Amino acid sequence: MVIGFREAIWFLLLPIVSTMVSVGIAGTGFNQKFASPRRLAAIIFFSIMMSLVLIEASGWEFWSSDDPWKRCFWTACFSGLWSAICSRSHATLYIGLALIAAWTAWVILPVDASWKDLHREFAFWSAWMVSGVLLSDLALRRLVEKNAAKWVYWVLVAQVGGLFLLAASAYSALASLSLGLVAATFVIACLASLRRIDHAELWIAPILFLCVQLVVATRLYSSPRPLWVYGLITFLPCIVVVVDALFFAPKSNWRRIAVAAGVCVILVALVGWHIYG
Amino acid sequence: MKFLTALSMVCMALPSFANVRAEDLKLDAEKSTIEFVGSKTDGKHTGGFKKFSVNAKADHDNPEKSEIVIEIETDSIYSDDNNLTQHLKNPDFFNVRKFPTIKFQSKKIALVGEDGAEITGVLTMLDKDVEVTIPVKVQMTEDTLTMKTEFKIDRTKWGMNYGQGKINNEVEISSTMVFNR
Repeated sequence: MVIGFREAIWFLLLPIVSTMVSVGIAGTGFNQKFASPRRLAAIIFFSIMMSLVLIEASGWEFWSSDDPWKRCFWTACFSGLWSAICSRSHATLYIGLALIAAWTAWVILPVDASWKDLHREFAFWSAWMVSGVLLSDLALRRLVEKNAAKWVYWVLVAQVGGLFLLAASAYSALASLSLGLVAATFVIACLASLRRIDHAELWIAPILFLCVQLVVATRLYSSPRPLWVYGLITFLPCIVVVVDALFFAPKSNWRRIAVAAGVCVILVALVGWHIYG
Repeated sequence: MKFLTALSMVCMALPSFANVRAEDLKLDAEKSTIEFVGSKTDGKHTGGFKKFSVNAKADHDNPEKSEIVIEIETDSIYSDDNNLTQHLKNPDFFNVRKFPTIKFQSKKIALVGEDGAEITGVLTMLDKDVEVTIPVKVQMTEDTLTMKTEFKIDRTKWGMNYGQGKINNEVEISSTMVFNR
């Protein structure tokens, strides 16, 4: 995928600028008034801007039966709104996210006759989506709670980077949206590292939902890859959390960052090596 | 009066005589091919379709009235690179799930020279109808009729716009169709 000027504007510049604006809408730490409405407004703005990326990549079909993967926009938006509303209650948050994830699995897989040969696999991929979203969300929020709010989004950058490698080998619309997602996540990661972001967990759900859904969509639009490739991308945050918890949690934060970065680089490199090596 | 009656009888008999001379041709799928060459800035790829069916009627007295309908199964596409084959199947190119067939329906056949013809017809691909004219060379033996063609199409006319600027819009098509008589 070669990026021209027009693509750079739509799939890099638009996500970068709109994510900065979204983070600004959510609040920058100086004013906690109307925190909840601000979070909701930020997610809505973010979702609308990402939908523009999708429209440019693939046209205006958010409920097309031909390309149901485009419905990922709605499920990402709803998951973001839900996490903006329930930011303080874990139980309610996860019940809602689980329901949205189950609904996601129901709506984004194509059920018409032309996909009949893959219908048998859909139960598996539905379970994959639900578990991928929930476990990765749990893992990332755990990192936020364990004093990793400043670097947790770099784990997400690695995850969506792996997604981009996978999508770029499949289908241009998926690759374009993935690239926009990389750009948006990169901005959030930078701002979080610079402590210019509040509600660090606010962006986890919508980005994760988009990411996991697009991983499954690439399965539909390219020749099947070994399961470990999809697994490394989908469950990358879980792997990082396990490594962090098992071996390095008591150590210094820099060592944690170095280990997490090492794990991310190795896993993404493995994915890239398999696809392009 | 007798002369007029005789003339009208001959006129009525002509179409039925023409029907007798129209021949359904049976495709020899083993010997027939539909292939393409796609070019890009740094090289080119070859490929083709493994599965297609042809309904052809040759009218030997009025070759212009001959007909040919070709249906290609898009999922049978192949190329010189497995990853490319998979990419060609997805919505960037042939979108084989949504559009399982490519169809060519002849509308007009004009003879060119002794063994050539130009077949004008509608090529339906990605749900778009575009009229194309295909030059063919025809060889006939007692047992077979062979049609060979080489021509170019502009893929963007069917909305296949992926990679413009990097991948050439023009695609070379070549085909050999062997019919048993």
